[in-house]
Amino acid sequence: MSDFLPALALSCLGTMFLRLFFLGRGEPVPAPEFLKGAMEFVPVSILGALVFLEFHHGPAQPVPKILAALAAILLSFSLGRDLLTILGGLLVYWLAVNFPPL
Amino acid sequence: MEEGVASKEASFVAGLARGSPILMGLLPFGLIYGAAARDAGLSFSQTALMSVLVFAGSAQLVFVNLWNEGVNSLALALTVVLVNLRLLVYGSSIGPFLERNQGLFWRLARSYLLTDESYAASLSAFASPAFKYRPAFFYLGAGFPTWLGWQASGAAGYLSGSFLPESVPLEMAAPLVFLALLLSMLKSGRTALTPRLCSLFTAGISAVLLNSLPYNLGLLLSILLGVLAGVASSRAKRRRGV
Repeated sequence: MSDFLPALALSCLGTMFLRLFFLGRGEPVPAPEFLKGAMEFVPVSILGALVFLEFHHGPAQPVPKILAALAAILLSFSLGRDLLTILGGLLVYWLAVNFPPL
Repeated sequence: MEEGVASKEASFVAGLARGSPILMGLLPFGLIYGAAARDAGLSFSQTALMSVLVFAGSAQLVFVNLWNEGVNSLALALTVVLVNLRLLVYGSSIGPFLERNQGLFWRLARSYLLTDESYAASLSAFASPAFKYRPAFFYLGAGFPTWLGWQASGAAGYLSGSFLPESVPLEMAAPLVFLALLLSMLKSGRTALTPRLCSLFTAGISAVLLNSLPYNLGLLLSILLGVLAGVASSRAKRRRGV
């Protein structure tokens, strides 16, 4: 138990250093020339990786997961509201788990 | 103020509205973190202090597990930093969108609020050509619900464990939150769709394939691969003159 505070302090400092490295400066750090074309793909790559990982780590049943994702895609394109997309996906998932289509 | 650009307050409120749905994806993790911290023998104040100081979900879960196993402080902190390395990528990506010359307090605040959720919520909004808010204040607004939700759900998880009935499909909330944000970004992006889809699927598939690498390195590598795929696809598209 005595190690908790030093470990916490070091973890906090290390994490804050990573956060401050680019965002803590008054002027944004310009990306190197060769990276300029690449930076536009960083957000979509990050979100793509997170979505795939979250679905991979998520619940085990594949059919409800796929149905929920399809419902979310349809709702997002038709309604365009994040909250409704999420709630609709959850509802379809719940229905697919409790009333299996297959 | 620049003409047509919303005020600081309106930008903050718009950010709050953007960041609030993310709470649904965050709550299960907060509950799990709180319960895991209690099981590992941390006190309530230690659990809450870590949520305030570190404020990074996966890193906090790793901390709790390693601390429970008796790993020494230095190795534990290094592991936390490795798990959080992606914050460097997030910072370099979102930094150019935020206002320059902000004071020290605001620079500290925006750095502190950098998480998967605040990054995803803000970047997907910044990508829209119709975005009319002040990015730094929008970003702070988008990050605040995440902060509040994380602190509250961690405390709730510690105090009462997982009190929600199993029929509530919270385990599916996080995937759907990120999917909603991704779709929102894809719909409103300024660049061609094909290279972005190339980037998305390369990053996504490699993230799953490299998932077993330690310290979240698989995520970093998959982001790199996704970016390379996007660049290659974009260049090929230009060469073909499409």
